[in-house]
Amino acid sequence: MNNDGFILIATVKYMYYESAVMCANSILDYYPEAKITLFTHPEWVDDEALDIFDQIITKDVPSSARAKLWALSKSPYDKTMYVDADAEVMSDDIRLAHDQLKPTQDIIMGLIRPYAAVVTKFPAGELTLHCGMFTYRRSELLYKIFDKWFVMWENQQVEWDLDSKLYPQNMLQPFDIFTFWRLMNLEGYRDSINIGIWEDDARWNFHGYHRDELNGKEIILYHHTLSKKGQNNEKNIPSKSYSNI
Amino acid sequence: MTIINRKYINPRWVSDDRDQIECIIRVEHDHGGFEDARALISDPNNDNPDWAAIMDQFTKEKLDADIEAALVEHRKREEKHQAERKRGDDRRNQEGLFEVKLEIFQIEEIKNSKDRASKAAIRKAKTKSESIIRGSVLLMKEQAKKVE
Repeated sequence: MNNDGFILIATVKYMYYESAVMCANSILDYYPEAKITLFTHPEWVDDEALDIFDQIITKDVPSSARAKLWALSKSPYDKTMYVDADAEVMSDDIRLAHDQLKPTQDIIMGLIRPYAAVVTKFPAGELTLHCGMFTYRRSELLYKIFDKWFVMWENQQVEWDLDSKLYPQNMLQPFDIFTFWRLMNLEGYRDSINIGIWEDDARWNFHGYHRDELNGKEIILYHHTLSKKGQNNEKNIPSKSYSNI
Repeated sequence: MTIINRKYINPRWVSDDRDQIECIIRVEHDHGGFEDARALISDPNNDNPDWAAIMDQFTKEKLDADIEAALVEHRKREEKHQAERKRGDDRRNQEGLFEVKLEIFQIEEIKNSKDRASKAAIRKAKTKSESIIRGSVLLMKEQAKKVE
């Protein structure tokens, strides 16, 4: 029996917890046997979550807006699909989420569409890989990169040690996509791991794209954007910096 | 001050019947200066020297080709604009629908309901109205259970 599954992360804003529950339920609507693990704060866990998640991990989960980066290496699965909590599954093809990862690949990702992105090109490069949904396999090196990704993103929020002419701070600082780019291109990991691109990647991470990118096929995963909402919920847990862990 | 030259700049058809041309007429003076004036030119009586000069210098075929190319460009821009507007509307609709579904699942009776099929039907609703109606049906079912 395979040990493949999905991980969802909900931290800081309670709205992400509600959305993660909705997202997990939408996976189960189309793939009832799916195993899904939630990383979240213990205060938020309720009966519904206990019913639907295969595992709920609350120990040491950082109160960070990018706790996802911390959680990636803690997946209990051999092949994991990471999905942003504000996504929704819309097709039975979600069953293929782990099969698209070929034996030679470490991770498969979608491509950013410049017309639907806040940032793509900057003087020293271009962000091309979307980090809102991807499938990856358990690997010592990849997990080391994920852990570095979290620490580097946290550090990136408090200090900018790059030449701002080449890497404009005001343009790139908030984005974990840039941190990933930096790991691949400036820290030298690009040739160490094999990154694949989803076949029909628009279907797998439909993020406000033009519908003709679907080539007549149905959306598998619709990626919504809740980032600017839910600021004032009394259940929110303040974000802390974890750059020193 | 003597006029030494009269130039026609960017002439183009501005009527569907192609019997009116818009252009800039530049009048150059012997002291080196010039004046530009926007002009609408037609030739109903076959005696307008500006019309004759434009036809001579640019030809009807060139004006036709220019306007066809401009129309193709305009249609392309319009199509792109329409597609972008459609994408924006689609995205706003989907975001709005998702938020309505999240709100429906904040209702205690719906959140705690064990009726997985009805809850899935709410999640799979394609419009806000559909999700609200399905939510209302489940809410009534759950409230009826409480009364029993």
